[in-house]
Amino acid sequence: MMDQLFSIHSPWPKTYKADLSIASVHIRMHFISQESQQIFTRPFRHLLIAEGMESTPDLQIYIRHDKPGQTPLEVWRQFDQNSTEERQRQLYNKDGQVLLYQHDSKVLAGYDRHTQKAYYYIPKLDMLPFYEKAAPMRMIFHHLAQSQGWSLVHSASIGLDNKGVLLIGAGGSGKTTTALSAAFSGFTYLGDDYVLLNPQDNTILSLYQSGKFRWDSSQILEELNNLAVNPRTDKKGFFFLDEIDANVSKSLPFCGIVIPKIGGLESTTFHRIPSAKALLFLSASTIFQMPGSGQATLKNISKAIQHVPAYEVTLGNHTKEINQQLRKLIKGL
Amino acid sequence: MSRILRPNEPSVISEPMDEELVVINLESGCYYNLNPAAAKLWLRLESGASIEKVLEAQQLNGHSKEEMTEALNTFCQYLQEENLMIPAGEDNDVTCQPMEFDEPEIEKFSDMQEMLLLDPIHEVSEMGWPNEAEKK
Repeated sequence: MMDQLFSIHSPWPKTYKADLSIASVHIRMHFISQESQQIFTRPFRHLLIAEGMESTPDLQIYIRHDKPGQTPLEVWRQFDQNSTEERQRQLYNKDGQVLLYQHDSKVLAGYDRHTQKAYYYIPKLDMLPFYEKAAPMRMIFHHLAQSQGWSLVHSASIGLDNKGVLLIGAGGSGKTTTALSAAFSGFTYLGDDYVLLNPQDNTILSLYQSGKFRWDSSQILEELNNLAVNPRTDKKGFFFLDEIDANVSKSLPFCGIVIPKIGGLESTTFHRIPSAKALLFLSASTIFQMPGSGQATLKNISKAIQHVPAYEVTLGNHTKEINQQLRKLIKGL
Repeated sequence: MSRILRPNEPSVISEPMDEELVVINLESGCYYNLNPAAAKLWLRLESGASIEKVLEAQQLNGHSKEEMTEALNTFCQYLQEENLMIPAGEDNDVTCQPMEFDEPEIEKFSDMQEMLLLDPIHEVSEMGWPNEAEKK
């Protein structure tokens, strides 16, 4: 059914594929062109499995776009016609098969939990917005996570000495800047916006080795300007962490939660807060961003965070000092 | 007549943490932190106890009966105004253990409303994607 909708029964090139692993889950991505292979493997470079080491995949993702002059898929046209500014997301479910169309990205994604196949379609690659190139297929990974008892959470994550923390907070809270400046200073990096949380063994799993940043934050991290792989006309810049030889890890034990807050003060301070507060902010920002998540996500997050301490960190004005304080905090966990 | 409330599921989800309770309203985009006193009251109402029964089980703990009644009524009214709980049909004959009264407090957050999922999951009709099935 889904194969037909996404027209993957027609001749599909065997050449373009990539295998990746997240924890022990093996994912095979199939691409229709070399160009799409290059775009969509880059954010997952740290998770790629070397050729010859592949096993039977737990999930297969088919990524397609059209050739020049080709008519877009019928199902995509239907969704596109129904789409409006007010109706940002269209999410449909039928017997365990889910389709999501996003108005802003024009991406149609599908997930079939019976066949463990997922689908990702955009008519032309040059229609892809920057955030889909930096952190693609979030809906697919959200469903994969659910099937494994994990949750895809809206959080940055860094670590030190085999201890990982989630950095949570709304846009503008300093979460991304903190994560990126920490990555530049030798911390382990797991993600700037979305990571996977496994409550069964309390680990944080990295998904994307990308970093997005506001163009004006490059005053804090001057290097970012030169690293951006997208034009300044995009709302935000992004780059890949392998460009700076950052210490990107596939996973780390989950040891704490940090809620950064821009303080405008000379020095960075932190104080412990109740776990309920951490659950509140992490679950709300995750659930409202992730279509189709709800009670299961809330329970998963709750299970994971009840064993770890949470801190509110009021950020000082100096990046170096912030990193020193974070180093102290994480080492003490 | 007994007044009985129940959580407005599936729009409202909740989870206890330590002694507090996190409540999320998926429809309004608002989320709430209930202090331990409010969390206990929520859990009692959720178990099917009527407001009257919950009130009877409260021990004054230095408060007057009037204060306690007003606080509980205000709390229940707020839960309904925010669509977190809705009137339910029957008293489940739940027994309420005595509990010392404390002021229930709810902290409300609405900063996620702009990210609200305006379009929830639809079931697909017989006509196929993307035609929405009629709600039952």
